[in-house]
Amino acid sequence: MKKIHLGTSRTFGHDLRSILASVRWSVGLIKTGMLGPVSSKQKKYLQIADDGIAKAVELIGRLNKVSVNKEKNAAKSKTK
Amino acid sequence: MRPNPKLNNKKKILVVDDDDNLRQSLKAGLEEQGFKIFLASDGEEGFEKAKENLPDLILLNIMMPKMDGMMTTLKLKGEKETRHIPVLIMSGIREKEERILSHNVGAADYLIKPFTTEQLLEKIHKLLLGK
Repeated sequence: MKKIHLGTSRTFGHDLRSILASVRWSVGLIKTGMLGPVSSKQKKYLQIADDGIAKAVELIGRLNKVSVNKEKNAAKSKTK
Repeated sequence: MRPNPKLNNKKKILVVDDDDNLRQSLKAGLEEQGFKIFLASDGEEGFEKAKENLPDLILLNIMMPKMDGMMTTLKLKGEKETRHIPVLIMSGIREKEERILSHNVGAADYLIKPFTTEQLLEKIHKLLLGK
């Protein structure tokens, strides 16, 4: 059961990171001007989107840590 | 950073990932950069497409149905026609063990999702052109 829980949170993290990868890549293509000229106003909003992605990634990392710590604590209390 | 079709012309990249959005967005973006792109949605299909098209580089996800990225890399490195092709692992798992394992099975480099546009293009250029 514990293995399943850890595996599930790992899979969620992986899946969320994959979704964010396509968003960050697409935003980046526009922001860097690879798809054509970008106005400063447009850049401002693209930067907001990029910052949101960075915050989401940070949150996934924190959730993973919480999940791993919970598993470790549960294993410790079981051996006591 | 503007596209450099001269630099990237005729270089073939195979993208193997089960996430359809990522596959399609990578295809569109990399074609803008002048690359020829092939797609596969799992390890088995990726292995077959690699043998069929002999790309210059393979972008490979780790967690996929049918055959995962590690097993796919092992199979690619075990085939005479594909063993020379550099494999860039794109992983959504931020664990040191995965990075070490991907190196051990023969992957050339490793990139954690979600990567930035600059990070991916830098790795591609480094692996394709030695820059």
